[in-house]
Amino acid sequence: MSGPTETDCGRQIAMSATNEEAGTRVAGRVPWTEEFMPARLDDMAGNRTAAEQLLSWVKDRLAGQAKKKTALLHGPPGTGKTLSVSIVARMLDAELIEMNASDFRTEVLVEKVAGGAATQASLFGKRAKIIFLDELDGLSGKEDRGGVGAIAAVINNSRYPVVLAMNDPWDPKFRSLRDICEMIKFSRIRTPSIAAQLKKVAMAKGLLFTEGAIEMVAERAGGDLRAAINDFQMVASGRRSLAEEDVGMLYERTQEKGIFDVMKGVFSADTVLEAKLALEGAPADIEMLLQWINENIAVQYPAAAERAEAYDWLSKGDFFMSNARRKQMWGLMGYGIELAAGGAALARRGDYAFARYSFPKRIGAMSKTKEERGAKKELLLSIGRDAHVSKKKAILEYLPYIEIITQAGGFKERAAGVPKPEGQGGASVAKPEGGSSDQRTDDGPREANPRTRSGRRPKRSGASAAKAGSNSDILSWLDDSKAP
Amino acid sequence: MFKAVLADGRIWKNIIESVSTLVDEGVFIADPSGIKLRAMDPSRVAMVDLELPKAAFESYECGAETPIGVNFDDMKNVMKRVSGGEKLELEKHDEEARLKIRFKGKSSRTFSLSLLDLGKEELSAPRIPFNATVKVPAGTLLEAIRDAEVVSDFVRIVAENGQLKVSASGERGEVDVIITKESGELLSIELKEMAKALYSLNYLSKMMSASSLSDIAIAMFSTDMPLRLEFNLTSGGKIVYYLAPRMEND
Repeated sequence: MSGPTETDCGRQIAMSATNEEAGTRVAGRVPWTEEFMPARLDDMAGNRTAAEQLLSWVKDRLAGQAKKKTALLHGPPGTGKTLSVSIVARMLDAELIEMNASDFRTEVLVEKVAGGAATQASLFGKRAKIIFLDELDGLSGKEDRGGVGAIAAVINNSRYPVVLAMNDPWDPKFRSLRDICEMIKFSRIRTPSIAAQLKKVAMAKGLLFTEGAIEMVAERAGGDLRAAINDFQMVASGRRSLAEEDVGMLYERTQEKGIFDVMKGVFSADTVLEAKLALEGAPADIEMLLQWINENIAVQYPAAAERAEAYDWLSKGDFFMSNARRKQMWGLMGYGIELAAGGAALARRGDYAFARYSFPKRIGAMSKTKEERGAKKELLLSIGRDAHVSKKKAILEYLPYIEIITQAGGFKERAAGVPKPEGQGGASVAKPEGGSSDQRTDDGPREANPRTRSGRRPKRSGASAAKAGSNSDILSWLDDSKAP
Repeated sequence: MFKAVLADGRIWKNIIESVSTLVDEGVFIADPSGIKLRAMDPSRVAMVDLELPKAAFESYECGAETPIGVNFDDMKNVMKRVSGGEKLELEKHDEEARLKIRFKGKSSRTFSLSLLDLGKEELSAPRIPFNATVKVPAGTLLEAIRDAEVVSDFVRIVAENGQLKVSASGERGEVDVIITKESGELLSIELKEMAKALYSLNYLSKMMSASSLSDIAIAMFSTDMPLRLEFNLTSGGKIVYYLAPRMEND
């Protein structure tokens, strides 16, 4: 991308935190998949025959004439399964009771929601209902075997048409269901049909486009119309016209990207939007992705200036993320993501250079220091018990002095001229790692430690080797103090 | 800024319990006239409609309409901690996504409950022509429902000839409860025409948890149509439930 675009997006990243307009353009907009949702079966871009088959089955079922107890819609994502059910429900003035993957967790819930709806009339006086169990693929593993059973029970007891939808109906766990289902197949939408749909959207939005750009978006969606429209909205956001090169940044839509590709995508991005897009389809949640960015800023940017800028943006992003969590204002996460990913990308001065990305060390560090942190916690609790203070207060007001006292113990021994043999008592509790055992016999490095000499409070940052050392010292001191 | 004080915290506890039996989460709307809540159970078969006017509170201030989205299980757990004789103070500042719940008795205890951003689903109450309106002591209706539960999962309610009949039959047996004016238990009955309908006891018994808050239950229904069950709270305000009828067995 050219220079001006970069500055433009640089400004956007700064503004998006405060500027209402930037926010609505990216976060609060209405998805085009909703705005341009067809209202009639005839308006569907594909699978109209399948939708009509569904319509006639539902009609038969309502009239008590259907051959099969339930209908099963199957096919890849974005091919109109959910859409055709909602159109059919509207056409027949039926109340639509929908459950999807997240609701299938327990048998009880299926029974409560779908079962309840299936045996009671409509509360709003509608003559018909359609019970729609969507995304049934989510039903998996042993614990959900009961889930299939609960669904079969709902189908058997239901006074209303029950419609199921899933991507892959040939999974063995659905065998019992398949026999009682009218199978309705939804195929991938043909690329020309997707392109035609995108053009309609573009015209309605007053967006100028080249044929090539539309074709690229359509082709890359791989028969998934919903994905195509989402992608289209993404690349078109903030633009008045769309050409092939604008679409170039759109990744081939694959099921899942590797995390290293995601990192490469973020750090090689030229715009905030590109960096954000790179996070799409990542095999990790957003918190984890920020850990990845955090870890790899230093890997990607050896230069201090770039590094500083990237971390600065990340810290601003983190500010939004933690506020989103604390105040449960999830809308803020959008800004956090943009600031963190966009900042990581735009901190780059020159061309993108290959880097060997690494796993976030935080997780490893947390598990490695688990024992140590456990020991520290125990120590703090015992201080708390004896001194009647909270853990927090023990950290702030007691631990620093205890550290000094343990150091002083070394002086006392030296003054008495009896160097305490190393590793007794304390060693059984304290892990002799991080050079702590050396420190105890050799006063040199300890005195050289400015923190203890000046008696300043230790900073409560990550568990460094120095900290591990001081903890071990304290533990050994506690043991020693009990001995005499 | 919204701040309301209830003289007896246990009233709120009971209200929350009666609502939470049906609904997992919902949005209270506080406005200058009082607090309202309208929510549906997940199967969209039952609805609860709660109104607590300003007058039901010891003190009440609310500048502008304030949505308060809550998870009822969370709130129920907080309210379990209230003791007899404690006042309840509910407080929400405009910019905060938290509700302060304060118990004031011998000591002052403040819980801060995270609120949910549930958006605003405009629910309108079902508009149904009711042919039968029956007023009975809440306790009497509760007993009838409990009797029916002994033998079945659903209950038939019939209003005709100046009496209310609650009956149930199942594999376990049959039960008939007849409530008449003569016995003094039927406070009033108005019939445009006779009405009978089947309702699921599962939902009905949950709704009856509000009977502890009210002396009188008012049931309105028509043949094979939804039931409207109203409890006027002795402390002021009301809880209204709607329940779709159960489909007759083929």
